[in-house]
Amino acid sequence: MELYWIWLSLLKGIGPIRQHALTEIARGPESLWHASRKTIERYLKKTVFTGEDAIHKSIPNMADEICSIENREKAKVILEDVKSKNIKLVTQDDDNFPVLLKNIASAPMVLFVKGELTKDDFCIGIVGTRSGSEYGRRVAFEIAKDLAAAGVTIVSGMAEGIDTQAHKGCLAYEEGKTIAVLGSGLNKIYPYSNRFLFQEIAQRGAVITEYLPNVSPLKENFPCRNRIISGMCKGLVVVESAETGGSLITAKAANDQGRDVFAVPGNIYSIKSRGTNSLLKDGAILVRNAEDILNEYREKDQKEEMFTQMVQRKLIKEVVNLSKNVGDVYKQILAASTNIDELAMRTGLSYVELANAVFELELRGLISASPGGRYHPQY
Amino acid sequence: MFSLIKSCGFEGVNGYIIEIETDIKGGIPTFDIVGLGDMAVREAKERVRAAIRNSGLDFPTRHIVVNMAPAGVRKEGPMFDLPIAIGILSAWGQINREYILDDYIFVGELSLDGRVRPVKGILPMILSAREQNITKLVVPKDNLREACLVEDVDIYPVETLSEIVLHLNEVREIQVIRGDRCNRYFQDHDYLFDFAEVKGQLKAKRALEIAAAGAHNCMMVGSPGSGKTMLAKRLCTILPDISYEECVEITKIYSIAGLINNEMPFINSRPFRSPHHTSTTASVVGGGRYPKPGEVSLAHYGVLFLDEAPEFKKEVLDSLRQPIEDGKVTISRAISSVTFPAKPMIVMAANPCNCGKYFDDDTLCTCTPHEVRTYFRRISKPLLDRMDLQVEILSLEYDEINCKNVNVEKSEVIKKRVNKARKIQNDRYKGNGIFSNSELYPAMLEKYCKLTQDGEDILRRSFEKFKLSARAHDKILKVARTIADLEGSESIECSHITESIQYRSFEKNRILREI
Repeated sequence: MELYWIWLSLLKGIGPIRQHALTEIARGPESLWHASRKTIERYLKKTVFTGEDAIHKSIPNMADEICSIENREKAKVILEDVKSKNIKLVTQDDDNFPVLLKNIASAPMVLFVKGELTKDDFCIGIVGTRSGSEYGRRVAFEIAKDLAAAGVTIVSGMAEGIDTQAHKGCLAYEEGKTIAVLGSGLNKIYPYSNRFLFQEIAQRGAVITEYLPNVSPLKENFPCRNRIISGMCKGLVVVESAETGGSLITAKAANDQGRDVFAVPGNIYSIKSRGTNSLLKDGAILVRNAEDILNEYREKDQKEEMFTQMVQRKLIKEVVNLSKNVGDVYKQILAASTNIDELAMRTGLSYVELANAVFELELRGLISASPGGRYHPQY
Repeated sequence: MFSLIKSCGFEGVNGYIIEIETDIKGGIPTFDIVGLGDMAVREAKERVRAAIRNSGLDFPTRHIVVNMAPAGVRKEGPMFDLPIAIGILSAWGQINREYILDDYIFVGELSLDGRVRPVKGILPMILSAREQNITKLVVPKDNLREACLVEDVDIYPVETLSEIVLHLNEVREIQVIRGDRCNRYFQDHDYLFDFAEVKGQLKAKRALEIAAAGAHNCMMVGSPGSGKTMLAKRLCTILPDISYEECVEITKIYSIAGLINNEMPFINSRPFRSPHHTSTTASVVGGGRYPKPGEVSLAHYGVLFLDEAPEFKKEVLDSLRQPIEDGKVTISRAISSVTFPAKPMIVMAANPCNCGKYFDDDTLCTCTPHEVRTYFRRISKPLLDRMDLQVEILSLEYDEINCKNVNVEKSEVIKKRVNKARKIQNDRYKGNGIFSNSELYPAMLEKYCKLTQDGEDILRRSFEKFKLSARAHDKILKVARTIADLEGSESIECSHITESIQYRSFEKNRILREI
């Protein structure tokens, strides 16, 4: 059976909607594989929707594609590869195909999966720009971690920046489960710098894609991939996005699919928050923390019970055994992210004292330094 | 009729003695110079002929052959004009032949009217002459002050050819000047700028202090306008004092590069070189058909400052790796290979990304994560690894510019500490062939950079926490050693180690790690 599905995804010029229609008419891809050219043409004619008359012209091409022996040979090779690499095929007929995803208009017929996919996880998508600011990265990480603690599965795109932080935040919670939806095949990890994250996600959740294993991360794949991210989720959180960001495409898809769109407000002067701020203006739900998201799905009578697992993170960690200087420095950093020069100005300590103080805090995991030497409270 | 005159040439930074033999015999009047001379040597014929005539002397209309021995070594430059002229005059009997010319070394270029012009490389030539126990040196008057840098030699400054002829014929003596080390020229410098002018930037200032004390290579990354260049320029004001031996070695390099004149007869402070980022490999490490020292040698014992380091051509940066490692540059040509000393402290400055805003306000930075990473990749990893201190610099805010709260130190104060620390190092490494902490070999680390139990503990914990590399380990120890020396502490304490780790910003603060 897997062979036929792979073959079906191989066909050029036949998208998920037509694939769906064809398999409905032919009652499965297997009979399509065996059908004669005449039958195939007849099937194809039936798939033409009203108002799509221009398509009639390309029916012979599509039929050629379906009848081609080359494609069948290719499918066999890919099947071997898929089996050897332990990649699972999940079709719409399978039990563990996500229900929410199945119901969107252009649901993929087949998903290639590394890891475990389950049917009805409670999913929230978190997306944002690749060049996230320190603020955005922190928000993504924290919200993902808290949602994970509340039992939510985090879906994102495994891109650099916000996406990566969302996955990492989720993985930071021990039982956190996260799903990455790729815009490339499973053999082509993109970005390559996330190859270790890829393995971790596959172990703790799933990495999925609608593309055959050897498909490159082509530019045009990503907007299509975005519909899957939003399609799997109950709601989508846009953390940080420029005016023309890809996350806005996901937000639009989410809206079209009837999903909730959440957005994190940002500095109005920051170009990386323009997209999210305009989403808010257009009616997206404002998010300050995980609680804001969870409240949307909390039934009135269920109030707190459903989310008892939610762990309230203490913003100010207990300060124990810190000497006076170090404590002072920590308080300053808690109040606002800052650098050595500002600290020197505010505390009046010498450079060497400060260097030792921030180092102790760093080593204890209370603060962390970002590129440029600015210190932030650890999140 | 035959005469033998001694002169000097140089190869690399070392001089060597050349004997100039002249033979004059009857026959068709010709003038040949043999002995592997370059174009300038061959053209000496015309200058010598005209200079002799125009000095009122007689140029022999005979068959003249001049040989420069050793004949197998290539000779270059116009400094042989004077000895050739003296040789001819001596062989022709116009100079009192009983006078012992063997004691003298002649160097100088002639102009057509018989004046003597200054030449390059006087210092290495005189040093090599002194080694051969030849102490009477006839040099162009314009090279006098440079020549005086060498002790225990008699310098005869000459302005014209006739002057030296009269001297040799004992008609009119040239006043002898005794080389005297020029101690009087070693004076404190008044710099136009001072570290106190740099507001804020405590970390960078401290890093430069440590760099100066231990001759560590240093890299500054920061936004445009945050003060990287300003800081680097002020680095000369806190560099440790230069010794006479160092001064001579630096001046030798400048001398052969032709960068010395009577106004600036020698280099009496640590050089600060900042080549532009369009510089070629040959200009930075040295090269050319007749190899000349490059910027890295001209910055010997001083500072080589590479502003906008990622903008340099990749091969230029990579060519610096060998000199950093060996302390010298060897340039090989088909004919010979030349070695120039090159032990500068390298200071690099760079923007954090293409648009430069990545550090200050990452909400305004327009670079993609990929661009940020590739911007830095232009500096190869091995070169970055050789930067002992890595500092990030943020732009100042108004409050910091006007802050009265923070103590601002003057360059003098810092320089005193640096001098003290450098002295401790010189004493400690006496006989080891090194002068500063940055030169410590891995084997020596164990001996000189012993850690206390606490220090070791902290180092181990930070390695786990910040995932530092093995190379970072050695650098942290070396820098910690310098910090301890600045404090005058015998052992490396905890606080020295913790401060030292702060200067591994690239690894610690994930500039070069995944985004």
